[in-house]
Amino acid sequence: MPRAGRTGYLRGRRLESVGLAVGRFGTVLGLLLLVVVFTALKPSVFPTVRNLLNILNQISLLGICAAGLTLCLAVGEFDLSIGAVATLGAVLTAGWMPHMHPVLSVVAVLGVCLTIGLINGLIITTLRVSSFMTTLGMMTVLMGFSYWYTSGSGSILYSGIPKAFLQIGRGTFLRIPYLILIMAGVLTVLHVLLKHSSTGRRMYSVGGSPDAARFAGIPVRRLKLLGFTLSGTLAGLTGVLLVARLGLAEPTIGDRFLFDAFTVVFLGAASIYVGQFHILGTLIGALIMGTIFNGFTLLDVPYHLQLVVQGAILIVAVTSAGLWQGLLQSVRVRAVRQGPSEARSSQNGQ
Amino acid sequence: MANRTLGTAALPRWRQTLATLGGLRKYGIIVSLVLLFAVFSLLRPGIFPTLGNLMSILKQISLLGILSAGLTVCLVLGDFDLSVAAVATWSGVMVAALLPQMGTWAAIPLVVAMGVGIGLVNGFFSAVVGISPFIVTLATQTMLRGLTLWYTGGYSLYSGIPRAFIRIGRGTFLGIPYLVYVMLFVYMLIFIAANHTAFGKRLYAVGGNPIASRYSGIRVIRVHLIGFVISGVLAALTGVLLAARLSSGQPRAGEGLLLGAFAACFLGATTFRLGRFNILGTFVGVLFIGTLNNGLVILGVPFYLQYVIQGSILILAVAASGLARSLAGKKAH
Repeated sequence: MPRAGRTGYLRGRRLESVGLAVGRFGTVLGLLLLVVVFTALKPSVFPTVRNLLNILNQISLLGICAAGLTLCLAVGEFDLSIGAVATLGAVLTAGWMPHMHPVLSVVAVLGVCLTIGLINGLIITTLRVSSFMTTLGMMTVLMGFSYWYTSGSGSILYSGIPKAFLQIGRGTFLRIPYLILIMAGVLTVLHVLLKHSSTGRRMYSVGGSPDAARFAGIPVRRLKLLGFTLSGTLAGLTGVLLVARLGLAEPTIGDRFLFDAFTVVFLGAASIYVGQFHILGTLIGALIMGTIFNGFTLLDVPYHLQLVVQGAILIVAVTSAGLWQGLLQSVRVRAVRQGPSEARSSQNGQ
Repeated sequence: MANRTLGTAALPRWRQTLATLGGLRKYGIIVSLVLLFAVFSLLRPGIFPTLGNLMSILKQISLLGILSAGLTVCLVLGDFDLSVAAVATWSGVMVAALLPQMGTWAAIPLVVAMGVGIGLVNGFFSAVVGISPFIVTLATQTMLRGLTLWYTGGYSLYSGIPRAFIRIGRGTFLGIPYLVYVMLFVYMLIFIAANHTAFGKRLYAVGGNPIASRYSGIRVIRVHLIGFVISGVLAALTGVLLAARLSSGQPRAGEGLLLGAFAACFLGATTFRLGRFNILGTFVGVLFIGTLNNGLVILGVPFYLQYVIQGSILILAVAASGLARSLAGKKAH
C-alpha cells in the first residue's frame, strides 16, 4: 500500500494524508453519514440495539454471498453464476429436506454448489476462456435447472421442511440471531485467509498479474480454482440459509444476490485498501446497503428509490476513491520530479 | 496464415491436422448454425424450414440484434456495458409515456437523445473519471431500473399510443417486417463504420492497446465516449421498437435482453476473428440464438430446458474457441 514519503515535502505529505483519509475512508464516512441522517430522522427507532441487530440480520446472507465473490474477484475472475447458484442451493435444500436427514441434505447441497464452482474454474483455467462468458452460461443452465426442479410443484417448495432447520434462520443465541453469527464466522475465516495467510497473498498476486505470479512459481490455476470453489460454495450456503429464513424456495429466490453482491464488493474495493477486493470492505459495502434498505424502509421510501440511491452511492464512492487516489498519485509524481523519493510503488488501481 | 503453417510445420502429422481443424473453428458457430438448421428442419420439416418461419426468426431477433450491435462496439473497446437492457426498458417506458403528448416524431428523437445522454454519463465516469465500466454501468443500470419502476409504479403504460407507432412494430414491407429492415440497416452502418472508416481503425486500435493508441495520437477518451454513446443510442432504439412491438411500455420488458446480448457478442467473438469482438460475428451469434430459441419452441421443449440448452451451448461455444486457440498454437495469434 502507498505510504507517505519521508523526503519532507510537507505540503505534499499533508495533502497526501488528507487524500489517503478521504479516499480510503470515504465509504466509511458515507456509512456514518447515513447512520447520522437516519438517527436524526427516526431517533426512537433507528439507533436501537434491536434495529442494529435487525440490519445485521438483513445483510447476513448478502454478506456471505458477497464474501465468496470477493475471493473470486481477488484472483481476477468474474463469477456471474452466484445468484443462480444461490437459487439452486435454496431449491435443492427445500426439495431434499423432506426426504433426507437435514444435515445430510445441507452437506449434499453444499457439495453440489462446490462442484459447480469447481466446474466453472476448471473450464476457465484449463481452456483459458473468459470467466464472464463461462459463468454467464453456467448461470443460464442453473436457472433452467431450478425452474425444471420446481416445475412439478407449482414452482414453490415449502412442505416438509423440518422446524429445527427453520430455527437456524429464526433463532438467536444470547439475543444475537444465528445468521449474524454464521456471517461473522464466514467473514472472519475468509478475512484471515485473504489478509493473513500466504494463500491470500498469492491470490492477490494472481489477481494482480497472473503471468508474473506464474513466473514467480505460484500455482495460478489452483488458486483460481480455490476462488471459484469458495464462491460457489458460499453462494450455495446463501441459498441454504435463504430457505432457513423464509421457509420456502422458488426459482427466482436468489437472483437479486447477483447484482447486489457485485455492488457490495465494488463498494468494498473503494474503501480502506482502495483498488483491492477485501473482506473488510465487503462488510462495509454490505453494511451500507443494509443501512440504506433499513433506513429507507423505516422512512417509508419506496423500493425503487432505494435502487436509485444504491446506484448513485456506488458511483460516488468509487469516483471519490479514484479521484483521491489520482490526486495522491499526482502529488507523488511531483515529489519524484522534485527530488529523490521511494514513492514509486504506487499502483495504477481503481 | 503463413505464420501458423510455420509454427506447426515441425509438429507430427496428427497435430498438424488438429491445428488445421483448429483454424476451421473460426467458422465453428456458422457450421453449428447450419447443423442446427438441418436438425430442426429434419425434426419439423413442415414448419421450421418455411419462409414464414424464417421471417419470424428474423423478426424475433431484430431487437436483440440491434441491442447486441451497440454492445459489440463497447466490447471491442474493452468496455462492459451492463446498462444496455435497463436503457432499453427505460426508453420503452419513456416513449410510451411521451407519445400521447408529443406525437411519434417528437417522442422518438427525444428518447434517442436520452440514450445519448446515458451513454455520455457512462462514458464520462468510465473514460474521463476512470472508474471501471463494469462498476459504472452496474450503477447506472440499478438507477435506471429504479427510475423505471418509479415512473411506472410497476404498471404497463398503454393508453394513447398512436396506431402509426404500433405499425412500426407490426407492419411489413415486401413481406419483410420493418423491424428486420431496421436491424439490417443498423448492422450495415456499424459494419461500414467498424471496417471501412478511420473511426473503425481507431476503435480496434484502442480496444487492442489503449496506451499505444494514446501515444500514436488517438484521442482515446473520445473513442470510448463515442462507443458508449453508440451503445446507448442503439439500446434506446431497441426500447422504442420494443414498445412498438408490445404496443405498450412495460417496466420489465427489456430485462431478458441483457444476457442474450452478451451471449451473442461472445459467441460472435468466436467467429471470423477468434477472440475478438466483431460485428459480423455478433450478427451470426444473434442468428444462432434466434434459431435455437425458435427451433426449441417449435419442438415444444419446455422453457426451462431451453435455458439449460442455451447455457450449455454458450459454454460449449466458448470452450470450443478456447480449445481452438490452444490447438492452433499460441504463435498464430
